[in-house]
Amino acid sequence: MKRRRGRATRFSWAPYVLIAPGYVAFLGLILVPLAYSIYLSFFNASFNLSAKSFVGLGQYFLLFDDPVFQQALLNTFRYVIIVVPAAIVISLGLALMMERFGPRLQGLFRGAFYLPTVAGGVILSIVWIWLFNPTYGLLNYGLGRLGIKPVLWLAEASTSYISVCIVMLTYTIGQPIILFLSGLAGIPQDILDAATVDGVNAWQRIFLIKVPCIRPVMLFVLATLTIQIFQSWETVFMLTQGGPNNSSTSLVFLIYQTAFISSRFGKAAAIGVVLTTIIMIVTMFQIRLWKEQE
Amino acid sequence: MRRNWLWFVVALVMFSTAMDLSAQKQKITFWAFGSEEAAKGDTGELWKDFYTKTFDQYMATHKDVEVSFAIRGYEAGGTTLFMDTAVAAGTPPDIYLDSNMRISKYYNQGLTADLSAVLSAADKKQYGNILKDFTAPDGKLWGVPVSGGYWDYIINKTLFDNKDLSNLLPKAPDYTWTTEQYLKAARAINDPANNVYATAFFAKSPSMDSAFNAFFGGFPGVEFYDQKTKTFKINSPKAIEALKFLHSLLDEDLIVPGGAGFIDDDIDPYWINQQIAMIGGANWYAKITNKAIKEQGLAPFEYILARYPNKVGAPPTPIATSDPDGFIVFKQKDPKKMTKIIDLIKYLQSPEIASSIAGGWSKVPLRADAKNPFGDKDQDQKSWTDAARKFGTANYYYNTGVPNFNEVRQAWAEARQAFLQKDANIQKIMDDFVKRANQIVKQ
Repeated sequence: MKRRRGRATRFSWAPYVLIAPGYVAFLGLILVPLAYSIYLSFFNASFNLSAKSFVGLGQYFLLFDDPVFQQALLNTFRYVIIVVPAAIVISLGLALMMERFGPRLQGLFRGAFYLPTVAGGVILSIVWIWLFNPTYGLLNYGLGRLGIKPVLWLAEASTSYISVCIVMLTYTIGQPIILFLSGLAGIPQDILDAATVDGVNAWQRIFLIKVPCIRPVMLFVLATLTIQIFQSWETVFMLTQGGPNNSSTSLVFLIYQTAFISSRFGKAAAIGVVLTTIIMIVTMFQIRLWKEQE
Repeated sequence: MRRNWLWFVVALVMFSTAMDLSAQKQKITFWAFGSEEAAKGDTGELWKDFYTKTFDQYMATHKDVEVSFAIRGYEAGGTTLFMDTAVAAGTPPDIYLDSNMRISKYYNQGLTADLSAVLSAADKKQYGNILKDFTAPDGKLWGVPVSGGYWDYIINKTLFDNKDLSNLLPKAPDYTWTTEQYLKAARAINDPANNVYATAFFAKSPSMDSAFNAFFGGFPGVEFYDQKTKTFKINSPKAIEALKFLHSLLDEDLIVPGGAGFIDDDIDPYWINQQIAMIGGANWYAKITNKAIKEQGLAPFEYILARYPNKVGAPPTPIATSDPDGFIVFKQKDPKKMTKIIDLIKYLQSPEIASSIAGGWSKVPLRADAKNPFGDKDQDQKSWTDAARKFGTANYYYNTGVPNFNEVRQAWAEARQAFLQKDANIQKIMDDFVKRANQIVKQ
């Protein structure tokens, strides 16, 4: 009895010290900037932050009257709606194909598909700018060989958006492929054997057994990809700068433009708060879905 | 022991005397756009050596002043960010030398001091009209001009020579041509099948604005922004007429396709590879051509500088377009220091130093009494500088008196992206731009 009470009341700083760096980083790099952004969004502030003036919710009212913001908001949702499902379908399809390969070949393909993720959006965008070039580009060269007129991939409103989506897909599918492969590898063999005995065909095997078995992985991929695409910036910056005429702009790119080109830090903070709120709502919805699944 | 004490007291007295002398000196910080390690265009001297020499000479005759200088950034974005950060942190320099487009932002923010005392009536006469770009509505000077670029039109003469079409080009010494003559030359040289285009526009970034806007110089009555009413006018019938002329180049496939998705770096290879016959922004393209010939073994080709075309019956355009560079002073609390700063700027805007600063940037000195910085070694540069000063310059950034100019500039780039579409509704695009830009200046 004595021994138990002694153990319960004994205090040690060690765990606090060990977790302190993480909390300090979280506080300094996330919580404080987030709180300051919310505070700043109530002001009309330029780069001369000492001369800011309080406008209450004025920045938010202005935002919803701003056609560029509306366009960026719409585009961002469209990026999520197009890229996220496309990335999941493509990466799942590739994972299902690669699952059949032997370890060496699978390793080779895993590396090949993961490489663009490591290279990142900026490097890939530079490569794609050349592929999209209307005169020199490989894509138009290929189309020309097929007798198709050159496409102004990044210069026309109708094609620039889809061009950005294509580049986003190239570096977003690498990680889901790895995750899906590990999820597929974790499906108990006896379930698959039982299905074979029951006479399921290949499609039924995929859609009725494998996909339901890796649903937790799919939900994780869905959540992380959604956040990633909501925050997409570098591809838009490199490929189109949001153009032509804002047809491919995104909310994060607009934040950059508003803060660092237009020097409207208050407005940029307000856009940031709107984006954070959207991401929080979507993520909470996904987490709820996840919990229900569990 | 006593001896040690004596030495201590002597050292203390010497130290405090030195401190006192140093305290008497007025420290003035000077920043300029550029790079310390870059060579000046006229003499080849490094910028840091030039400024060291210039300020040493000044301090030799002004013992009570200590000037510390820094040359900040090279790229436009980098410099802007650097300056904005310094201003936000409350640590800007006392004097800053940069383009009107960038320094006017600080004037518009109410951060600059009145510099009317720098220029005498005689000095003002030397600058002429360019002073209006540095003058506040109440007539006070918020900046002092130094140099202006000449972003004229450049033509690859070799391409025209090879096709025996040189007779279509504007002639020396005035290099004047009409829009009809321009179109004739453009149609003759254009050869998209072989990837040779008459000209090019780009609009993914705002950086071609002045080179694009300069075409308006050939269409009298086109106004971008009216300072009196604080409204934009680029949707007026006269402006639409000029824009329709420009759009006809796109309709006739006379420009490199995809301009709305290009920045300057994308267009440079077309020019270097002789796939563009003519383009605005001459001194940039002249510079990269000479560099490529010198450093990358590019096969030399001949180019000429010319005026932008003018509408038939309209007066010729100025030979040069420019975003004049000038000095500003951030507001000072100490009037004594401000007096010393004004004295220093008087020294810097003297004909000799102003000429050297302009020449260093391969630009035109804006003081009429400043000599042409280019000697006989660089005849072309000398003659173009003479021509630019003879025929005058105009500021086609259209930034004068425009509040929130950076944001307007970005909106103008987006409008030009829409304009560079085949099926563009020019009137609607300009109406939308005017509406948006009017909102931006009011905010």
